[in-house]
Amino acid sequence: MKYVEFHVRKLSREVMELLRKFKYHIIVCDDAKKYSILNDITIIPRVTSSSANELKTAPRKAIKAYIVKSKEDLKNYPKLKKVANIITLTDEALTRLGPKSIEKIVNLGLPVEICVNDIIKALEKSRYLKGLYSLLIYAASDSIDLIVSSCPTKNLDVLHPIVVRSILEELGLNSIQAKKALTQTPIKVLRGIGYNVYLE
Amino acid sequence: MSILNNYLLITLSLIITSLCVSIISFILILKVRKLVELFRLSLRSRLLRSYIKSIEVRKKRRLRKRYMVFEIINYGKSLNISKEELDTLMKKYFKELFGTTELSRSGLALITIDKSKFRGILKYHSTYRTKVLMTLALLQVKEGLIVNPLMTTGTLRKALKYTRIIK
Repeated sequence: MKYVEFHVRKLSREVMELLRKFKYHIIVCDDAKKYSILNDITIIPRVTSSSANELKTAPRKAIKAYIVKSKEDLKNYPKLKKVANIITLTDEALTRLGPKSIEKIVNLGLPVEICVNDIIKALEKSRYLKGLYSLLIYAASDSIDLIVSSCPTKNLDVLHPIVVRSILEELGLNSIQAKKALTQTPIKVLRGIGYNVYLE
Repeated sequence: MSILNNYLLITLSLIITSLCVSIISFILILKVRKLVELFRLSLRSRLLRSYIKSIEVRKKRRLRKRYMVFEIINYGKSLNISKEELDTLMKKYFKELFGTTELSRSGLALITIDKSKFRGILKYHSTYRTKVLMTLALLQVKEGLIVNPLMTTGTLRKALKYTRIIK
């Protein structure tokens, strides 16, 4: 089974090695400028920003991720669907966003990305993840496409896909939905942009 | 005349007996109905239901042991952590996440650790798989120990065979 790491913030040699060891087949990286294949791993460029204008000027074949930190970021709500490919929720959004803001995001119909490392850090501090729990209700009923990544900047941040899946299962998703968040949904987004990628 | 009287008597007696039988049967039906209803209510009772459910759960959930072979990624550096230390760290983080009761129920224990091959075997009950894996994630984030779960088996012999540390 091979997986997709949808958000690599900084690509170093060590991170790459670990990703290969953990059976990640495709990675989407902020650092990459163009599509390439390195050591059997497909690298796809990505632009992550909280401004819609910046995403407009991004390269056509790069994945455009719109960052949501608070409910003020959802003001350009109708425009977002034309500009962004996915919506990324930060750790602040996972704790602060209320059910209404989450409903707004769900109504957009774009896949939502969350970072597992943020969740672990928040759980460690025993914080109540208001946004995440209301998002997971939609994910459990299959009314939203969820993408999960470990968002590594250094090698310690790279988590094994089985570990990521088990975290999702522990949070309330079933095993199929958890697997889908690491395989099918990212592939669907990549194919939507025009990449002919597949997982064996 | 006497024959007619006899007939009348017989018919009257028959009517009376039939009436008696019907009244008795009606009373009996009522009684039985009450009994049946009582039996149905007792079956419905929460206590009995929970008892039946607990028996079913006991039948279904036979806690099976699982042995996970894992690898510690250390980039060629020597592993300066003992088996006891790693065991206590794992239990500490499991307890931090899920509490003491879950820790005791999970049966989490570090069986062996091979420092030369950076491999080890972890034992737990099958239903606690996701919780154990979540603990490994916390161990990586907090302690910087990158743990790569290689495989899971049902017997210690197979796990040992995989790690190639059979004596």
